[in-house]
Amino acid sequence: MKTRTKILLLFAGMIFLFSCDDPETVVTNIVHPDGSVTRTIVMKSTKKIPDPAQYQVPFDSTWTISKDTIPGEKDTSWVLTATKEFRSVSEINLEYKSDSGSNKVLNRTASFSKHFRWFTTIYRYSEKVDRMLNVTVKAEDVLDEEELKYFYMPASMLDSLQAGPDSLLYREKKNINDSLENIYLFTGLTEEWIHQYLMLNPDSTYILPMKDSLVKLAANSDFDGDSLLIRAFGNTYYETNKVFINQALNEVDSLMSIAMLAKFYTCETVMPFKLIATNGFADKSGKISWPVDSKYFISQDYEMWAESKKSNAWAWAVSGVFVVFVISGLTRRSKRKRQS
Amino acid sequence: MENTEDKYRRLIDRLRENKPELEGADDLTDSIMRKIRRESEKGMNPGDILNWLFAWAGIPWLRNSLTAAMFATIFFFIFQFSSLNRKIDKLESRLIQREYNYYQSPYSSAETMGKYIFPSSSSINDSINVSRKDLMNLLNEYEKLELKSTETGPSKKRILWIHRIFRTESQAVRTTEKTTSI
Repeated sequence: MKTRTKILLLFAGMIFLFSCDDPETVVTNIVHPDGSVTRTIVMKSTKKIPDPAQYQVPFDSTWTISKDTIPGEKDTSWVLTATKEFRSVSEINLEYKSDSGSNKVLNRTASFSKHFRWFTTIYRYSEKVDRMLNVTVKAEDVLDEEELKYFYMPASMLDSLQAGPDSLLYREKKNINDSLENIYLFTGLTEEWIHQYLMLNPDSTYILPMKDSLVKLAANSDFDGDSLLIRAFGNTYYETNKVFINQALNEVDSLMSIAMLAKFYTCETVMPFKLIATNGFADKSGKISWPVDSKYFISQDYEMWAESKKSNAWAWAVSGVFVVFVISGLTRRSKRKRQS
Repeated sequence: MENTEDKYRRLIDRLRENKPELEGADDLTDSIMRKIRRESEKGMNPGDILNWLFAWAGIPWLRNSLTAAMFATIFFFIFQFSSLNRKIDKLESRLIQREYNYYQSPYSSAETMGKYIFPSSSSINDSINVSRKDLMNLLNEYEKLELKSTETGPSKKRILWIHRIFRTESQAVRTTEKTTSI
């Protein structure tokens, strides 16, 4: 199979990253004010219980593990629940570092911070997945605010929107968004290819203005072998630089192959005190969800963050007393001045 | 000269010898002490406490500093809460509706029912026998959940409806069993 075709097939496969054999995994972090985290991993599948090498999120025998079976209409599902208390996020990061599961290719880090802001104390918890490519193409650069909302929306929410009222409108929106997502992902791949190509052939800046047309061609046309690149660069240029072009494509191919190993799962977080901001989707109980999917961290770092606040009652009291004290002093002085 | 000087000394000596005698010396001491006490008592007046407390208002640099600090506090309060409100407004667009509960996320309600009725996988067959007690327990639990919840969605109403039918049926069965045994 030719490299370019392989890349496209790999890319197309990304949309269906969630293979039927992979267990449905939800990892829930309950963040405590002191920075400790109660982490629960729930894996569900109708297939056989996977080996630790197939776990999307790492856990081992130090966790409290329970296994359960649930009879369904067609198949019986098994559910594996693992829970562990982490004293700090650094312990979670150690687990990520020693991960030998299906997502070991991902560089994941968790962080927690607490900032005193006098009237309030702000708590922030985040989990970040580093990008897979060398170049950075942010989704915000290609998609607008509304499109971004659909891009990051959990699949369950998209499904419910498409099944509810205005389903036709949402289906149409989804189709538009799918093609925009393709353009975004192709932009990342094209940027990476250009990066690799310029490293091999530094003087060849000729291809730079052709980036946009290459992305459009790749995203919208049927890809057949070399014709796309010939159409983009011209036959003469392509034949002259064929070796470099293919070598750069091989580099992108190997990066994409690594990205393809990543398996989908859902990350959930419950923050202490009142939730004030997040880039995920929160339900009424304050639990926030993020889909962890390759498309989010191919060409950009994917940070799933949430912020909550605690009101400092004592600071409110001190400030109130201080303001009243100063106003009283000033009023008293102005009264005396008038009297004298 | 000497004469005048002698006269002067003699007068001084005579004055020294004839000291004036105080009438009611003890009373005088008392009245002085009373006056002193009254002065110190005057210092404890609420008005004087306020004077002392707000003395800073008479010192220009301290007055200006405290006024500036007060405005800074008010400004910081307004700034912090307007930025927090903006964040919370944004958050509202990211709220989603979910039907499942926290640790039960991977279970559907049908699966929960199944789990309750069939505690082990060994009892799964194509045709099943469910003990009435287990079924009633399950439906009772659902009714309790229903009562706890303020929302009555169509699915919950259906469960209640099923419960009522089952309860009526089981009562009817019990009555039939009794009649048969008699």
